[in-house]
Amino acid sequence: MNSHEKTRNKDLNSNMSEVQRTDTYLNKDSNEMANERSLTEAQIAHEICDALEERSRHLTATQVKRLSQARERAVQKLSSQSPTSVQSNGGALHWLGHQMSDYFGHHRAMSSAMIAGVMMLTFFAAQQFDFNNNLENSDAFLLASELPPEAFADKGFDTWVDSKASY
Amino acid sequence: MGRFKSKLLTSLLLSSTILIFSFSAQAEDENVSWAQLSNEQRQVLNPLASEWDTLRPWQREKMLSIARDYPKMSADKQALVQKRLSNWSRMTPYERENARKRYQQFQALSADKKSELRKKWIEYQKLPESERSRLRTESPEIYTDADLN
Repeated sequence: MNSHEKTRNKDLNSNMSEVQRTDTYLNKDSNEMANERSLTEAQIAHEICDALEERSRHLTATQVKRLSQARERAVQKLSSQSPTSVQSNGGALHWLGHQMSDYFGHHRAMSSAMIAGVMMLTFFAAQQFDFNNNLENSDAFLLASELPPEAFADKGFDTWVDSKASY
Repeated sequence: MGRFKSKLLTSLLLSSTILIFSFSAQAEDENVSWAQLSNEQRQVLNPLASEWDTLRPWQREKMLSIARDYPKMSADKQALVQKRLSNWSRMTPYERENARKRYQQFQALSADKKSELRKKWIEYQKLPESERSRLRTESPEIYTDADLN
């Protein structure tokens, strides 16, 4: 076996080992994926955060600068879109809906209090409306009417009035 | 989202508790005895003092509503209420319910029609009792037992 053949065999062995390593890696990877599936969403997110944090420690100054610039460009693009996109992004109602959902999403305690407050106000307003509506129809005002309650209660009077002339 | 739901549930429970308390307080008012009435209520309901404790809860509730509205009236109207309260409490549920229905119709009339009706009431009272009794028996009942229970 000449040196060329030796080198070729060495390369083949090396390739074989690489294939075996890849295979092992893929098997390992698929096992990990299967395990990950059983993890909860929160755990996965936690692991992603940890991984990103771990990787970010090894970034070079140039990479950090480029990432920072890319972030700035993305933020600028977003900020130039959102306030003026009332009409271009599907209308004012769509925009308002987003704003409100964001507000209520971020102020949960306040929105709960607001809902409770609106419920209480509605109840008391309904009671007040009922009270005002019934005030002139209450028994007290009937007793203080221009006619005595006997006039209203006397069915004979009603019949007699009807026979004489209609109201 | 879970926290939001729990806060919303808490708010609903709080509101419901307040509503239940207000309704239970109202229910207690209906069963109040003469001795438990306030001085103002006793003053207004004085014509009913001797029979108050024999009144049924729903009758007491109606009378208490009269005492509640009484301070909102002028002195003349208050005097009319005091004068008519005793007769009112002795009316049957049928008579009272008929009176309420007729009063509502009366309220909807014009001033002229009201004046005309006042004159007719005076005229009607001058009819002989036998004639008035005949007219009463000719009139159909406006309310049935089911309406009043």
